[in-house]
Amino acid sequence: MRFVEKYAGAISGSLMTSAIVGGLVLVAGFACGKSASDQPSAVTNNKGLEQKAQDTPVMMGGSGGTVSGTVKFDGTPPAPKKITPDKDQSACAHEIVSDSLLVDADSKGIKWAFVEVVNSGNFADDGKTSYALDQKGCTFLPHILVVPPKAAVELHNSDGVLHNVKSSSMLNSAFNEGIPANSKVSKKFMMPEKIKVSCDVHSWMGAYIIVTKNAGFAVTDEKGNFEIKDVPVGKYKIKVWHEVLGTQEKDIEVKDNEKTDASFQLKEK
Amino acid sequence: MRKISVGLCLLLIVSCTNNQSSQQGTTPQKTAEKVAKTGKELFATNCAVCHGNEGKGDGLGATYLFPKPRDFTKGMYKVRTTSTGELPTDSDIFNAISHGMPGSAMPSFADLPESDRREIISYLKTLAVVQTEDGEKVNLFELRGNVQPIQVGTATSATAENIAKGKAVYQKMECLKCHGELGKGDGASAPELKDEWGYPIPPNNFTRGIYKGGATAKDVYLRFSTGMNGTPMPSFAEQLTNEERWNLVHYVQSLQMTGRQPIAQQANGQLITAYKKNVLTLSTNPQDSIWNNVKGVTFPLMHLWQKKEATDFVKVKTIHNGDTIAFLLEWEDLKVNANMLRPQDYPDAAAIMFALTTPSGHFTMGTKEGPTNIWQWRFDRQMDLAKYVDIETIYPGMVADDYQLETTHYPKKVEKAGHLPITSAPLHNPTYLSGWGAGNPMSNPVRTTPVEDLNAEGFGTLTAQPQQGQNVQGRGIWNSGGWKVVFIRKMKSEDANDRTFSSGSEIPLAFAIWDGENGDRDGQKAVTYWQKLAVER
Repeated sequence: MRFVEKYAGAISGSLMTSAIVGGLVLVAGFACGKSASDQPSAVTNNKGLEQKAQDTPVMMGGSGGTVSGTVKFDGTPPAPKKITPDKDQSACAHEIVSDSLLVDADSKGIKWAFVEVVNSGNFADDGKTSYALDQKGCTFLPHILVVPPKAAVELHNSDGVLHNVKSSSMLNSAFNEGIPANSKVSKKFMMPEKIKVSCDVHSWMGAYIIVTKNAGFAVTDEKGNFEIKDVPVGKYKIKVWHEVLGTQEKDIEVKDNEKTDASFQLKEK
Repeated sequence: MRKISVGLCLLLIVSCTNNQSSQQGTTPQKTAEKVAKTGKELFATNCAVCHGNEGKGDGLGATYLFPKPRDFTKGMYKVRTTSTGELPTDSDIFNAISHGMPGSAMPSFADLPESDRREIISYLKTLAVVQTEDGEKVNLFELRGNVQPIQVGTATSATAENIAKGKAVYQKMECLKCHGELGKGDGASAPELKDEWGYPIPPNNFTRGIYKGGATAKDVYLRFSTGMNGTPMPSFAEQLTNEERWNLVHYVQSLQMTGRQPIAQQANGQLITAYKKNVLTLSTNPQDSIWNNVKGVTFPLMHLWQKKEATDFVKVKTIHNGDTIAFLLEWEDLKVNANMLRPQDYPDAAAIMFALTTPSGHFTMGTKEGPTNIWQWRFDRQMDLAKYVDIETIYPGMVADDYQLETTHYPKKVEKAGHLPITSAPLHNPTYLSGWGAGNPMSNPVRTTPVEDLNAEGFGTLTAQPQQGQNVQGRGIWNSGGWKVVFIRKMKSEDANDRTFSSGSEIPLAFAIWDGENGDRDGQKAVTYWQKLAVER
């Protein structure tokens, strides 16, 4: 089935038939592994939806295992980039540390890397979890916001100055909204995509909204660590993505009640 | 056409064009022979020169254009009636093709038959293909092309009260952050704004009355209600009521300088008549009273390289006496730029381009099949004819910097080399003036006219005619913040590379203006698309 046909329904707002994933709360998150539904039906429904045949995991039953690891910088860690805002001093903090490439000097761990286990269960909007991207002190909070397809995201401006939030999305409708002081707009994201959002008024501001249907995901912490719990037993592809350093993937096997290591080394391109 | 040998590209008229004649100019027989072209073919002929063969915005002309031509593969369109970030409707694209985008290098293609323009739209839509996370290719118009124009509510009237209310909205929404207090495009964030490719993009200067998406009140309403995709301009639709938005329109329009005509669309195929005058001779004097009662045509100019200040209009008058034809070009220019002695200096200049064939070649200085004849007047050349201008003109005391007790240079001896008028250069030996010796027309010291007679058949082919072919005369006068430049030539010419002028047929012609003060040179200039010249019997 072609992508367009598959998503035509999603766009017009028809219900997605796959099973609903249990309570996922994701507010400002890093390292947010979460419980994925291991109902085989969820996976079956999703099978082939966006995955090519070879990516389809081999499900083996059992209660699932944990995938964890560290995403490290290959090379000499760069010093954190500091920005001193030259405008709107009252609202913007005096010194802002750029989130775009943050490497821990000792462990070489990379913060804000996104790791996902492909087809590890269905991440869907439960209608209860609220997702928000805030602008505070002229930075986006959080730097990476992970949401399921069809989720509504509130874009807040908690600062006393104008921000515009511009998305670079292609598959999802893009937008560029002027958001005056202390107001908000809401946007829906239909399709899996990694979407850069930025503010043209304050050129240093940037964040990512990651729309994914994979329940097994995490965002690394300041030491580059991540942990994804309750991944159904099976063979998977695991992918890491970083906004500056790019993507890597490898094959893993998740065994019942076991910890699977999936560490990565990313190099500057 | 004569084989072009010297690759001098002084002026690159850059833009998209069609190579078909205007519909009036096509004979019925030709129309019958014409086979309907596919959108792809029409795109290749008319659009690819700037937008690239695959529509990626990387055509040959793209290098010389700013802002850059659209990349149609991204489905990102600036001027729409749909919500921010959405794809355009067919009628949005149709309007952009038909009206052009004032202030930019996108011309109006109103001379293409409507069916051809529709074909191009269908083709453009097939180009917007992106990859999903899983590597599948998706056409964006198939995926989310079912878009509707946004609601435009009833307008408020442009009363002083509503304008004042609009001003409050302008301040509350912090429009001034980019567009500046007085709407001159000079807000605090203006210098660091970037477009989708990371090129600097200046916010619009409302005082000029030029809007890429058209200058009507509804157009302005739509721009800040839909945003301009690919630019920092966001939408304020969610933040403002219909009434607030209309009041903001009135305020923005009130910022326009007095006496300015807003540019509704790019000029295409506008007719200008060379009126017959019963006089024996026509002079190069721009202030000749013969021009006083001649009806002129004012053409809005397209900017191939957008700058904050630019020449927005050129007024053209033309007359003939059966033997000689004369053109008078007039435009506003607050600062005169006379030379290009220092690297940062560029002279004011103007040019007229004529098609040598019917139908005309590409507007981008022609094509191999449709060459052009270009007359370019430059003020530095005119100055050189009167008095040779050298470095010392700009740095009169420069000798004293190095030789403080130097006396040999003062008082100036006119017979000393370097102080001679350019016409005395033949006294020198061309063996030692190697550029001249090699026949480089740029180095020619025996020029007799400030107008250069050139030919071109597309980018990089601009070539000056040899000395004996230089038969265009002219003269410019800068006075009271404006230029008046006259070009004259015999209507007939034996030279196949020269345009000839006779009544009975419409001659495609176009104009270009360079403002030295803004660094205009070569392809960075203000131009018109092909217009039409009729010679009065």
